[in-house]
Amino acid sequence: MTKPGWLIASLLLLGIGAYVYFSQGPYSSYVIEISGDAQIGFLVLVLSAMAAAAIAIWHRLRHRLQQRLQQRVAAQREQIRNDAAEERRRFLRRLDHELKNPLTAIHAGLARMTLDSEQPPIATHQNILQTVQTQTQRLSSVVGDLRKLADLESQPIAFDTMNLAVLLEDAFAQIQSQTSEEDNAQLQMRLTLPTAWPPLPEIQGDEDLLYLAVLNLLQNAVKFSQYTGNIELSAFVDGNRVIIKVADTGPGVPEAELDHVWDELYRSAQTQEMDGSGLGLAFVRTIVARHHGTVSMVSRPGAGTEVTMRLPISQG
Amino acid sequence: MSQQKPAILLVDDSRAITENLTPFLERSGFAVTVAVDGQDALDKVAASQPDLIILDILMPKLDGRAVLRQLRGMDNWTPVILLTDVGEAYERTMALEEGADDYINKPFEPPELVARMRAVLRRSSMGQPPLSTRSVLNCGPLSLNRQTRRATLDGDELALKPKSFALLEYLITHPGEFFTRDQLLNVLWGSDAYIDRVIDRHVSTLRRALNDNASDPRYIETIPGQGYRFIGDVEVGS
Repeated sequence: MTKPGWLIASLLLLGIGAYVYFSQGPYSSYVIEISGDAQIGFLVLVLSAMAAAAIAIWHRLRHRLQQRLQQRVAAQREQIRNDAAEERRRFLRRLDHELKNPLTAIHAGLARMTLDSEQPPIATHQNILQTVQTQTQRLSSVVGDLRKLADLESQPIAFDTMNLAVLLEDAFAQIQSQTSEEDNAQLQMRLTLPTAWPPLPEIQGDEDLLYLAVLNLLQNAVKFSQYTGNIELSAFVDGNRVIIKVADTGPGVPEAELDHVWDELYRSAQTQEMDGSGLGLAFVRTIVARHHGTVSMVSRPGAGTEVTMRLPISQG
Repeated sequence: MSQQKPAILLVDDSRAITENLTPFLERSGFAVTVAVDGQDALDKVAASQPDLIILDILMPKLDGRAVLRQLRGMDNWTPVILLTDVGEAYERTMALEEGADDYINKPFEPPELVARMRAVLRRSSMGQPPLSTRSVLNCGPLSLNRQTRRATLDGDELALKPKSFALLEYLITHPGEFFTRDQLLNVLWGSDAYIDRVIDRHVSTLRRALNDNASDPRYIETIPGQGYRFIGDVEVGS
């Protein structure tokens, strides 16, 4: 029999036993005199009451037990998370030491070679030196970027109130001024913000990081469109989310690659030769994730690309 | 300063770094002594009184920040440049408040280190705590209290976000020195992996708050195509 069963049975027996005891023996005079049929009815009433009490007590106990269990599980999870974070920090510190010291030593060696030579190095040596120098800088860059990405993923972010409309206007103004510095730029750019209800809300977040994310998307759009075509930045409210979109009329991304553009160090065939670390979209993805949002891309090769950021309005 | 070469104490546990950096620094006009860990560093400071200490942070035995704390605790204000990594922002700020004169992130190009060293040596009034350790700094009507993280202009408080304050703080503790956007990104985020336009936005915010005109600035000057500099005379406040 199950535990509630035992509890109910015990209480019932207790009830019957008590009734029998009290209706006979020394206390019989205190027991109310009831006729035969009514006695059975009375008994049933008492037993029902006891059963109900038993069930109520059982539920209460179970609820209290569950709560305590949940608290313990939550505390354990918190502990595991903290341990993992601490372990990660220790790992990153070791990584820093093991990656950055060798790179620093290489830079120092190269600088010393440049200063040290009695005669100017022969042409081939100069080329070799140049290659080593360039690639070391590139390596340093990638290490720095990856480390920054790791920090972004795990370090606490100070959330503050942000005015999204101002942020988007600033990013738009910035990209406009950047592209106006390019000769041969034939870009049409448009910013669309809500002019009617509902307006863009103020949300909690890190303004610099979100500005960075939006600017990054705009810069990508401009770069891949090779400074021609149309770029649109728009934002609106959808339920309890803010939607921010960056669209272009660039060459687009093949469907097979759409899922992978957000990976660290991703480079498509087109971007192999371009500047940049291949980390831009990984940064964007991480920044959006730390703001409890999502980001996705749709594209049609030859027609254009649209990136959509969705950010919750109330940060829970 | 005398005509002798400045005496540098280079503290780093990586021999590959010190063996290559030392000749470079010597060719750049410095006299270099090397220490391999924190304890060695303290011993050598006591023995030789260098003009400048280059101090790595991640070291065995005694780490760089512990060395710095001990030195400052003994009222030793020899200028210190910390070799740091991409640490947490508060660690870097604390490093400056704990008494470092400047820092440079690894990996760095040696010529950049030399430039920093020369700037620190130029700035340092030997034996005095650097500007970066002072709590209150003033420039005309502008006053910065680095402990309360508040800035006032003519007594009116400026509403500055933490990063904008940190940028102003760094510029005002390095008056007259110009910094590229990448260097300023390193100051605010410990890395120049971010787009440097983020710095421009903070500078615009600061200029608005300070009523500073970009074309005729009193506080922050733009060097076209290069970066920014804090002009204006900085005094220590109380």
